[in-house]
Amino acid sequence: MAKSTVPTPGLSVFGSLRAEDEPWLHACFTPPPEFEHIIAPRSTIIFGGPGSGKTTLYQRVRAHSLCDGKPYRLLVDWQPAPLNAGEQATIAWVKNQAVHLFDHCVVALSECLARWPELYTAAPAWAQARLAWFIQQYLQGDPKIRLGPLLENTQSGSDLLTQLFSVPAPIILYPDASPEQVIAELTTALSVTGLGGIWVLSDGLEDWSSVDAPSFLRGLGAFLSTLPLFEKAGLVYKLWAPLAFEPELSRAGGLARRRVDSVRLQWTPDELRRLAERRIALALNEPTFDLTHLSQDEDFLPWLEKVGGDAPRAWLDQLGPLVKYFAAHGQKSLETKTWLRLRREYPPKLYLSEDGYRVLVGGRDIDLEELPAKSYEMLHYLYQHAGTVISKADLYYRCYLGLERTPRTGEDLHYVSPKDYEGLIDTSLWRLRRAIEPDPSKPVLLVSKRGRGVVLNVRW
Amino acid sequence: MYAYVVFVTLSGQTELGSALSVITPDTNNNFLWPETMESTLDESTSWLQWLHRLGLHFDPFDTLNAADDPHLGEYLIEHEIFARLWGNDWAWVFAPPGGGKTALRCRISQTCWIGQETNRPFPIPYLPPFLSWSNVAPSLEDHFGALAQAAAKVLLLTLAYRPHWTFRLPQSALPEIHKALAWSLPGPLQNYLDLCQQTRDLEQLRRALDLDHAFALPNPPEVDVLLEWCTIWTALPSPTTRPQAQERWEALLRVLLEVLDFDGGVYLLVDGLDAAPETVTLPEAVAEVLAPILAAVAPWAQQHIYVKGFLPAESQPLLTTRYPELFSTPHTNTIQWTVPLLAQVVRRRIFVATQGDFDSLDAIASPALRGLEAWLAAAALPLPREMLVLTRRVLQEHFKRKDYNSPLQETDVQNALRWYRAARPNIIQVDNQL
Repeated sequence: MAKSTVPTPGLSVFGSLRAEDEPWLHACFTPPPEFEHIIAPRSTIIFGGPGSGKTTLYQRVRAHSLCDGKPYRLLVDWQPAPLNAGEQATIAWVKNQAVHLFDHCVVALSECLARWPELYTAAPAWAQARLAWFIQQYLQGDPKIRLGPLLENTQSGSDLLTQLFSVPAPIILYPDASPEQVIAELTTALSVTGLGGIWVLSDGLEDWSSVDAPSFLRGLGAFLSTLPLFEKAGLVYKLWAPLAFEPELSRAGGLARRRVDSVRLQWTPDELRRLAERRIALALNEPTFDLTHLSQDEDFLPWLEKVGGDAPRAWLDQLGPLVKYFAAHGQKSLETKTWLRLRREYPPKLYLSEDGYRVLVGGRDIDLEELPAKSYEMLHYLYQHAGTVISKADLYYRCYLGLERTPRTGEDLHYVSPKDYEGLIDTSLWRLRRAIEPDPSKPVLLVSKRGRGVVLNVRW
Repeated sequence: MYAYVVFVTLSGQTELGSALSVITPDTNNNFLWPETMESTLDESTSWLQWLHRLGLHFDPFDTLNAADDPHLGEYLIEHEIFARLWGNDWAWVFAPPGGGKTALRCRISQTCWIGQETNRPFPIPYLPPFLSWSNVAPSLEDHFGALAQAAAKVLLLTLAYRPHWTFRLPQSALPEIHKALAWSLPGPLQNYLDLCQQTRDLEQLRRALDLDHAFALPNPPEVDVLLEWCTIWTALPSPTTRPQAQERWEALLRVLLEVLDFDGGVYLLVDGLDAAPETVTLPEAVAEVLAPILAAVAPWAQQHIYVKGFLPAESQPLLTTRYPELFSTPHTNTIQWTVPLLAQVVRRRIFVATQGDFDSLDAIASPALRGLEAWLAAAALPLPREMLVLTRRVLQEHFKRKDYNSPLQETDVQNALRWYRAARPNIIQVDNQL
């Protein structure tokens, strides 16, 4: 890795672990196995689980479309809307989405021209006419409201934009022209401006998975089944979607007919190790780094693979505290006891799914269907009281029996001797640990507090 | 602006800082810039260079939609069904998605299109414009409007490629053609003429008209001839009114069959019926789209307008039951693919992409994989598109290993098959499993 003259971000590379906050990401970016596929000029849906690097890829695709900060294709951030209540996923609905997409194209094009007016002024007259027509025809609403800042700022292109909206453009297509024809005219004109095509980028589809996934998926599926929208040279879609959408969307006509490729973001341990090493090298401002320098404990890498699963973010989340310690202590390998202490202090993040028997621990998506119902309820109870030590009595009476209060003495209703339920609770805890702990023999999530009970360590 | 690809050496430098050796235009108008090349040199551009090193001058497996493929005419294999479609009668072809319907449609367009005289049929590719209609139950009037527009687009490009037709026509014929074009083109005729005058070639016109590569010809007219042609049409007055769709359609037919006198009649190439969410899997919906024009199929044939329909396989039983005479055996065909034919699809592409240097994957595979195309043909769904997808994946698996000096290995094939089984479209029904 070449050292950069730009100040290195240092240990902040292990900060939020969100690509949105990582302007230096290009310096340690590790392409996933299908990267060549992803950046090819073909419409593609990239499916990935939480923390698999979808937003990172989105940013790299954006970066790949720039030369010295200037785009060589028109990048349009857009995503279809969900269906409203009672709305059908019909071709009429898709047409509305296409109009919505054109509106976003106008905004993106206006932003480009405001900053680089030469893209327009250097274009031949026929291309100028088509761009002016498209801008006037397909921006929804009042330009002054929609593009106000662009029209008013001092960039050289604001005069051009003002002119584009004030001088009537020639009619290029009649109002009843099909969207396919509009796309053909637009991409033909763009091809001679230096913007060699349109890439529609849809990140953040994940947000819909927790809001109204069924109606969103029906709409997106209909959009992806409208083949003419995916058959135009010069118009490419890149969508980043959660893995949970894959079964539904793979039935869409555009995917089944190979107009849209699908790529599942999957990382092997070797690739994740390379990714982690590059980031650590950047943090330490070193050309390279070998993970075994961090800890030579033979369980270290297997632990990392277990906790991190196939999610880059989970790997980095686990490594962050270790790297900070490593950097603060003369870059000496961590002793085993130090590593064990740090992994207890920074257990993998845990999310319990609200709508099913699943739990996400670090990079592992764990199916809890096999877990007895009472054990699951116990996990749910502990999750609701995460960070609080819960006595075995509370687990038994409140969680197991569902009482509102825990009886304290033999005179209280429902009271039984601890020895009558402790075995039951211990067995449930053992099952839970087997299910969720990366190493059940050395728990870091479900930790016993001698004489007091048990606590579920959850980092938010 | 030109597009560029950054090529790097293939000397095993797979990590950052690989040497930049060549910058050259890319056929996809896609390029990578030095700023971003650090992490992508090997991940994208060297794919193309690797293909070059293998001897392939372009990626012959990249374009999966036949209508988008600029090389289709060079490597489309002769299928017996072509002869059954060609001729003065209506004909239907049924095939599953990826079964070669669009390639066949393009082949027919191209066969009609080549030549400089009107002794061949005039091709009108007709893909129902569902988005324009906003529904999948069009009326006959809707069809007429869309047909007229489809015909006008091809007619304009036809005339532009062959200015001598215009020059030799009697002056009295020109206003009728001008009117038919102006009525039915998707935009003002003068805009298209301006485009020709300014670009001085016809490629941008073809793209603006949204016509596929079958309508590209290697020998456009000389610039001065083209400009003279534009001047003739520009001088004619534009019509001030626009009649109903049926009149527009009939005006174009008159131009084609009477004024220009196409000997072979008109081929109406109906395709893309499964391109809407409602029609993608529902034979009923496909039948509903077609219904208004089916009544016209036989009368049109009497007028030398021959419908050639490229229809989804799943709609065949319904259409045959509902319209037994129209879809009788002499008019109906299904595309069947065999292992040798599918293997030939790949070999032909390799032959073209290597400019004739070799014609089989055997040339780049280990001896243990001899006859690899047949192997792959037996493993893929028996459809050309699926065959191309699987073949490309084999090459990609090899590329991913970055062992550039080794031939294709069995492990590449196994990895590709594993990927293919997971990525195989599961909604496609294929009857003739090999």
